[in-house]
Amino acid sequence: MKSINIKIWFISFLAVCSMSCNNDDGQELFADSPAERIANRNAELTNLLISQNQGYKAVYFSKNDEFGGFTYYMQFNADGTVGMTSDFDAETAIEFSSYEVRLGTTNELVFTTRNHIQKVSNPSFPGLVGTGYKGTSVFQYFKNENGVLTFRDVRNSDSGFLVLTPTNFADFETESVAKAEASLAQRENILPTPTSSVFQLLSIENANGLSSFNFNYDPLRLYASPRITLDDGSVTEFNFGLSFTENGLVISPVLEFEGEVYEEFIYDSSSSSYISEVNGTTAKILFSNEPAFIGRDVFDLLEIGGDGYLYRPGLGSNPLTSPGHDAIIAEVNENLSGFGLSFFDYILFLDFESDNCLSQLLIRVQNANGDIFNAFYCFERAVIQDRKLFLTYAGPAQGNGPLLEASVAPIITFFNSTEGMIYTNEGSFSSSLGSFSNLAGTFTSVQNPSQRVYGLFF
Amino acid sequence: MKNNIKIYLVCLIALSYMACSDGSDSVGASQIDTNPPILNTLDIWLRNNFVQPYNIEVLYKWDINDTDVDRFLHPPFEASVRPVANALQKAWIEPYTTVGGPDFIKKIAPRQFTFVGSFNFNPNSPTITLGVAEAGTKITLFNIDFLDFTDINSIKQPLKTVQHEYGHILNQNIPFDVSYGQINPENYTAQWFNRTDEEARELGYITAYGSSQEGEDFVEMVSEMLTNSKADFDAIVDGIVSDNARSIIRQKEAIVAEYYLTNFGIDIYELQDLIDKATQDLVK
Repeated sequence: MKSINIKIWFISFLAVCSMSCNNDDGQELFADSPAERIANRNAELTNLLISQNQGYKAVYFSKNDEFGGFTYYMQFNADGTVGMTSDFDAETAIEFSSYEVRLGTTNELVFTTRNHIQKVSNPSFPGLVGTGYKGTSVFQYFKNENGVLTFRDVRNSDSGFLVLTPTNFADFETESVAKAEASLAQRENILPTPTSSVFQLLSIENANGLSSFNFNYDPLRLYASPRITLDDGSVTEFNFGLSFTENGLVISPVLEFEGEVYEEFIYDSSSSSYISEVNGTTAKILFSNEPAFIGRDVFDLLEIGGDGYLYRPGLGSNPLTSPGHDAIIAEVNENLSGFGLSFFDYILFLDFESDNCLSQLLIRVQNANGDIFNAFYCFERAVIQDRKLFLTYAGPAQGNGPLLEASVAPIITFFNSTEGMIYTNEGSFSSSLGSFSNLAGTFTSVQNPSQRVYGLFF
Repeated sequence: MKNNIKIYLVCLIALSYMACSDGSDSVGASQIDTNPPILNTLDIWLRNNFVQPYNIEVLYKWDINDTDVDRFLHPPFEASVRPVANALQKAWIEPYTTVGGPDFIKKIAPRQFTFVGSFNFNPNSPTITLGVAEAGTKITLFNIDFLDFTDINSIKQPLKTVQHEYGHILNQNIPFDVSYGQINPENYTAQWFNRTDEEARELGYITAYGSSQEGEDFVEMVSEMLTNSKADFDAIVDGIVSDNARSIIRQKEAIVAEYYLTNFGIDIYELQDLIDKATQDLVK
């Protein structure tokens, strides 16, 4: 019995052995091996890059929730080199470096040596030390739509995008540099000039009417946060980066407002504005005579009491003081030079009850030895109307006032704005030279909205 | 029964032979791309001058995994690479080879250098990292795009970094005498960057970074000795006001010299002289 069992078991074992290695593998899921598929995908991207012998226009937003983007023109060569220019700065000459297509987490385009593209990942960049624009040299290949190649920043995969579009140039070397320089020039058009208003708005006009937002543009980061804060405290805000083109700008993320999507803006030199027209609606970035909404900050001035408002260039600069105000000081200095004097500072005192020269402007000038001279100018009582401050000039006080009146007239005119002044509370004082706990604020002439001053109360 | 077992055994062996033969081809050609990469003239020069003679690879083409992925860095200009590699060859490899023998660098050396173009800023700290040594096998040099090869002090910066990191590698092969760390351990601090080099020297440390911990103290002594001529190094030490601090640093210098002589048969002062002459030649 025992022997029979052993035989049966052994025969069964042999039967299983004989069937165990049948060649019954299923069909291959892919025609090629993994290594071949990787190589093919790399070759596909490489071939796409070098197939455009006039190169690509590349728009790169390194992190569109913090920064704007830059435009590049790239010409990829089969020998692993790439020539490129960009609108990052004035150094637009085409430079050559190396690139590779590799497999990382997916197929990646790697700019392996330094060129224009790495300017956004330069951690020594002034104002952004340590991070630069948080850019990268490694881009993950994401999609190809009709020859437009999209890559994602390997670190900022949700906010960093590199989009390559064939240039279709006739001459890459000359046209790429010309276009890079043109888009660099466009970047200047969005900045205030000595004559442009300090109030820059994003206004959107559609069937529901006109909606305006203070643009709040940061030229270092090329980033805008259009915002409006109403009296009830409600805030509406958008955030996007800007990348300039030869005839305007594009924004990322796109602006979605009341069912429409705005992405490309064209510069209109006649109105110094950028315009995007979509389905009969218009979004416009423009300089306006007044802000999107005048808040109640001006009523804070009623509580200031005897504190003076001081503007002194020696305390350091702040971008809230406009080029238009700088021009006022330059003009005053020009006028004073005939006396061997120069502008030192001014202090504004406000009184809302008396016409007896209690609202007063003290302008101080100095000679070459540093001796300070005071000149007083009187205003009638300050008035707040329509959330604006109105000051009416009453004439010079005794002392140096009459003598210097003509020289310092641009400052007096600034505060004597017939259409009033807009005041904003800016919290504690901060300048290029340091910060103080003193309350800071700005005054802007509505009569000439290119003129705004940032100073402190003491 | 015995016959049965033999028959079973023969059958089993016969089946085993046939079991896995399906008639298909055996292993074919490799499916991995083994084509050589595109090599430019710089790549070829690096292969001929570093890989072939010393088995040291110089990486300069960007790979995000070669550095800290959280830092914002960029690769160097190709034009920056060869001058730095040449400086390493002349002022590090050749002097060590002269005093330590032709196999010294071949046997004890980092197997990879990574060159990074940008500065490496340390987050939440007012400091930058000039170089990193990893496990005795790899040295990363930063900010090579910002070196001025007409200014000897600018060139000394990466060389000092290499001498510093190479000191760590030597220590990983043969540790230094533990008595070194007992000379003046009381002022080691993680906030070393709040000290100037001058302040650190008055406490008996050759640099501020040397006052961070004994391992750094030792290799800072090495790197200061090997990136200054003897006269310049003596001038630094003699410029220390505190007699005690001066004495401490001379004591450390003696331990360093003894370490090189005893463990590697190298007269560090001869090495110092060769490196100084080579460094001077780099800016001529």
